[in-house]
Amino acid sequence: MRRLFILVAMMALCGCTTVRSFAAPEHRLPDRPLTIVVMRPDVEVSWLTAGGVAQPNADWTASARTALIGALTAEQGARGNSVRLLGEQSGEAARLVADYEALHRTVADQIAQFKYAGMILPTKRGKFDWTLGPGVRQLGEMAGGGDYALFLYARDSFASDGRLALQIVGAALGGYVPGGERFVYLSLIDLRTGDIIWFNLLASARGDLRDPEGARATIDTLMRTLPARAGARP
Amino acid sequence: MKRIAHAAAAVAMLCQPPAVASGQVPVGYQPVDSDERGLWMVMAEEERRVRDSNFVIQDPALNAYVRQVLCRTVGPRCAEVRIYLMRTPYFNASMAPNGMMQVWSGLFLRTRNEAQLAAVLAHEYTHYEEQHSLRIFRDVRDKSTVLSFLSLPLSILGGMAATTAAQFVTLATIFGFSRENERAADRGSVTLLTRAGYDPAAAAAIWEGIEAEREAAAAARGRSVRPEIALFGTHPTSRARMEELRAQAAAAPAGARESGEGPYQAALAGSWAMLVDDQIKLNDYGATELLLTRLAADGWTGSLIYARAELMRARGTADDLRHAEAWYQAAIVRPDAPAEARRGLGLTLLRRGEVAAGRAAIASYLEHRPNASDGAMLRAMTGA
Repeated sequence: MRRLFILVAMMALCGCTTVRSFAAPEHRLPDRPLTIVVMRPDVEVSWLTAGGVAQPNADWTASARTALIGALTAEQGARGNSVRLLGEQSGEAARLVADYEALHRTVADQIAQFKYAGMILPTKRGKFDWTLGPGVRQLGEMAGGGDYALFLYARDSFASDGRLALQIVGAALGGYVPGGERFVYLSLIDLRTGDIIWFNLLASARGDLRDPEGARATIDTLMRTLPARAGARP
Repeated sequence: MKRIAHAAAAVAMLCQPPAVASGQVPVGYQPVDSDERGLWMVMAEEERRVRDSNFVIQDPALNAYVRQVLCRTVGPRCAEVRIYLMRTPYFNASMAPNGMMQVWSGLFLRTRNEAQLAAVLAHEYTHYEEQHSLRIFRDVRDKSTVLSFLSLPLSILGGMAATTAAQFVTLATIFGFSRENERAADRGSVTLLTRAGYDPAAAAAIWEGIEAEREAAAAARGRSVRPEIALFGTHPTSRARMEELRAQAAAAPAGARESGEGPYQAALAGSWAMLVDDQIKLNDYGATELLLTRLAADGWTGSLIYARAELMRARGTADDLRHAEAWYQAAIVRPDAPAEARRGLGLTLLRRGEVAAGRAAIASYLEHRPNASDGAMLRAMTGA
């Protein structure tokens, strides 16, 4: 994940919002209401101390997780799709989920490195063909059936008073001290094949994932590039 | 796993000065202020990963034993601690502020009796009870704030790297517990050991072993022991700890002085072959040889003879294989040697060209372990 973080830092330096998505070119979403299995979102919201230490906040993180799930459900509902949260598992099932979460983190890191951070693998040029393998089917079965799995990763931070003071002092001296930043990615997996058919990443110095409004704005921005269902194509 | 309960009113916490942690964490403690709740949240996430990790040793008997030793040592508050035995062949144990304790499997080859295991568990428990990690985090945070205002350019660099919460975890783990906290935990462990009727000298004995192992590893590689640098270490040097622990043990009140070797060895019997295998695969012949010699100070048991034979087979010079064969032969007639000794004997004989005898030994292993995970491969090798 380290490269992702560096990337976010670079993007956030411009103080703007950056969104960029990739989709598997030949994949077509079936023309019927879809069921999306949402994996437990990996969320952490922190406040940035004056010294730049990101201190995780449990309440903010909980609010953001709830708000993001709400926004996802609403957004997919508007498309006529339904969202199914993968519940807490135990024993072997929990280990399987952990395995796929770890595998997805690794693959997402590769996507960030070779699609976003400017390093291009010759074999991946002009392609988007990452996969978690057909074993992901088990995740769908665990959730009681589904067409796609959705992974969500979100990091959000807010400057403390001390950090704000430092930013002002920094600006007065002609330097730049970064404040709060947010970084979210979504990744959609075809549960039949395990292929990552769409991946979208947002880095921004504005917004707030903690409240339903901010979470909805972020999810809507990210979802804008999600391929439409075949029949729903304009 | 408990999800952290939520309340709103978050923004107000920005300006709220953190409460000062001191003394012991009370029974049934749940964090209240935002620093600590954040720390617990990060640890809860980490625990989710640990809990479902393939590195966790599931063996119920060994898990029950370690828990029982912890409970005897620290009392009923052991219920607040969740123990994860991690299959990692190094000497280490760690404690998170939310009660997640990790014990690495390499520790079981280095503690020689129940009292020594209890010493490590008591040390980690003291970190928990005295909330050491929270104090370290606050210390780092406060120091970094001062640093930022003193030196803006530095803070710009630090700020970029600090965009992520991962940095928080890095700070908490890399810096580790300060040396002062380690000393406090050492003192706590001697007190708890004495109270539980264990030999308080056990704590110092562990560090004697670790120090000797470092020297042996360096000697085997033909290097001098790298001196421990106290100034930058997160822990006091092994030697310093050893001396302080010895003095504390000597000053401990009189009472029962149990070391519990028998129960300890019985509890480890089922995992022994795995522990030895992982240690040997570190490919550190000198340290492993010394480790086994130290464990055999009171005599070579069947399980130790097996371990020695495995080590020689792994290095595998012509002489090693000859010796290994003799050691395996000595092991398999002992009741406490694992069945894997027959496999080792078979593989050694095969490498020495004694095909018929080798196959017979492997067949005998498969009779003892019909469901061995390497059964299919061994059957293919022996044509059985």
